Amino acid sequence: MASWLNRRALVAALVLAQLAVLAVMAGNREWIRANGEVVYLRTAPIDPRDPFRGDFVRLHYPFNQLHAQQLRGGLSAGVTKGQVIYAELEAGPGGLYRVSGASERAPAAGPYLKGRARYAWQTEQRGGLAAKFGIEQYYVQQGKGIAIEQRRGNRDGIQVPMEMRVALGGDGTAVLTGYRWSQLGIGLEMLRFNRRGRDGELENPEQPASPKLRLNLQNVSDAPLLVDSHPCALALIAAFDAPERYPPASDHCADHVPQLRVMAPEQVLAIEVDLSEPRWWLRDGEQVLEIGALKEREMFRLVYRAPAQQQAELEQAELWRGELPSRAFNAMGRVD
Amino acid sequence: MSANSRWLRSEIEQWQQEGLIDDRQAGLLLARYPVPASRDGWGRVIFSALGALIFGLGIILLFAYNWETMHRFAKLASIGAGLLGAHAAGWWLMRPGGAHPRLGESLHLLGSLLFGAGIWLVAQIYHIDEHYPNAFLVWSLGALALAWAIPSTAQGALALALVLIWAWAEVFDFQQGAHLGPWLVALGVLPLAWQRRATALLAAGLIGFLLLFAFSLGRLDDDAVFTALFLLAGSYLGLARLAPHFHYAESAAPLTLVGGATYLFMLFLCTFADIGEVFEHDYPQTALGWLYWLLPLAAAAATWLAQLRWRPPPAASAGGRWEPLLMALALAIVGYGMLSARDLGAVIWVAFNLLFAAHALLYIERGTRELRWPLVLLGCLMLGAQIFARFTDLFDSLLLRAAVFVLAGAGLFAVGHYYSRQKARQQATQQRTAQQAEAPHHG
Repeated sequence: MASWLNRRALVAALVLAQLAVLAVMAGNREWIRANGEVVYLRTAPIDPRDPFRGDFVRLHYPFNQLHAQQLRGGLSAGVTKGQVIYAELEAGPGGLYRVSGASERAPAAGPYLKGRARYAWQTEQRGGLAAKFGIEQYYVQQGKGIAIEQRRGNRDGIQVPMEMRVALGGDGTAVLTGYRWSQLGIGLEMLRFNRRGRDGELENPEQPASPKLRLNLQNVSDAPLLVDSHPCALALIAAFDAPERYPPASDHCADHVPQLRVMAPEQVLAIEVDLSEPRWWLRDGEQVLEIGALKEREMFRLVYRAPAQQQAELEQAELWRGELPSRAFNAMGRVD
Repeated sequence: MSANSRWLRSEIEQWQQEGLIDDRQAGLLLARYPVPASRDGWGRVIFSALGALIFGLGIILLFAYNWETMHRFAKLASIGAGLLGAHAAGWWLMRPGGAHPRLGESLHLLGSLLFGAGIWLVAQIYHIDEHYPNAFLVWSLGALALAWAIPSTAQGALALALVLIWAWAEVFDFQQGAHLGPWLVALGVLPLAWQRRATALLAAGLIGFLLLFAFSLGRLDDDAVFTALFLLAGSYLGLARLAPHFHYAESAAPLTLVGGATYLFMLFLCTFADIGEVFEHDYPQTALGWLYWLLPLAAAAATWLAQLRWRPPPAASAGGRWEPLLMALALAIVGYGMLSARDLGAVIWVAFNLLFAAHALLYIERGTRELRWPLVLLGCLMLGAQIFARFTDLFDSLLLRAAVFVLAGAGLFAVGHYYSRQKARQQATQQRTAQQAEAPHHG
């Protein structure tokens, strides 16, 4: 009889333990939702190699790929698979945060994300450190994912980044609590490119080696937006390396005056960029080159950078703030 | 109830209807061959568990739909209430003197399924993108703990399935070892099956242990998986031979089935020409590696050496007497190969071919003598597989191939003929016995 009672008490205790496991899982996240610092993190341009799966949306952030210059402390020497890393966040306009650096220790102050290295990485490796922070998927009701996918856009048109609302716990644990859409969408079209054959020679020698592109910015919000339509509002950066990997050879955009333009809702602003022009040439060590002269595998992005706060915005429309990168492309015509 | 018991009961009923025996004689016969009591028959476990499983999966799918109109607290409260309610109802029904303990066990199973649903629901609500195999591990531990506390075979089966899923995900999705897996089965599931006399769970657990051992060892040293599985299968067969000395003698059947199938398959693989290379590998570099290496060896040695102390019942046929010797020899060769860690060359290939052929012939001999056609069939299939496998290995000449096939075909005809003669002799003996039994009634 005593054995029976003990057994039944044990069963009851184990059932309560099951409930406790769920309560701890939910309670921990609920505490962070209620008390954690809230930040917005912009997702990266869609990588079509991450298809939408079923009832959740796969999210990818720029900081899921950390380049060597962002790694500090012990991380700069090498990282083991699964190693815990802490990504420091710095505030930008509109409540958006970006990762300024990462180390193996939690920062003493400021918001940060806790994550893990997906693969082992060594300093001499190219491509940066792949990391996950537990906020790379967002569950939606069945069927609603299609609407998000359509709003996000596809590789052939305008892509609108999601800006995820994240609550941060004291230990860097991040909890997704919602999202909003970027007010500006971006699209890229390849107007001209020149491939190289197996011998390294251009297929069309009479054409420039570097491509010509059209960058499309679209106001996807409900209100007018101010943007800078001057080509100097765009920057050419390495896609999967430190942005400073290929600094611009020319500084003629250093003092450019923004050409502000009001974009009505749904309006598209097209900016054509011919990367064979000297203003787009880059510095590779001591050499000054156009991107068509670089190795085939080098991928780049055009980044739209909004100007600082303008007087005009107070009168006409809200100035769109921040940076918006395009999809990655290379001189051979490949666009991700 | 076994197939033999079912046959006998239906025959006794038929004899009664035909007037061959009266009710008293029927009762005596039934009492002479009682149906062994089984705490967990197939039917009871399968049907009650199936109902709970499907219901639980329906709940999981319902929450997977992720209704936006339902607040997250409402979702959490629903799953919590469901989990508590199912377990509470099961706990009540399984009270001492309760009328429906099986239903109670099924409700506890539903509760454990809802626990798993709860883990995934919390992950969904809070968009948790952690290492997902952990969810299966936690779920399995919850089920395993209840399996022992209740106790419940169905919970044990759920725990086994979840451990297998967890290990698969760790090894194949994340290329990591799942070293806890084999131990959870060996120390958690198999003893439970033993205690509950649950033959189905025991068989599943034995298979699960082999798979988990292979998964985990494969991450450390995939060269050692072949020999480890061979020796583990051999240890199962050794345990089967010791089973008559256990309190759970029926464990011999699943041990023989799982061990025998694995052993014969591995032995067949050993008949191929490059088998000697399997033994050529480096010794382990870590303590864990040594553990994986030595454990199968120790298990095989212990279970076969123990038969010197606890002798199995003597076999009725020559086949039954020679078979253990052949097994012991095969295991000794594999054990030697594992320890020597070098290519054992062509001699081993010849030895394994002879061993395999000897096994096949013994099964044929035993099967025809004891009129057990599945054994005869197994032996013939083994010989046939070996001949086909050696088709391209050994024989370039079409004449030789033809001769081998003719001989093999003739051999099979001879086996069939001998089997039929044995059966006819047995039927004649039975008829004579029946006539002698009837003679005093008609006298």
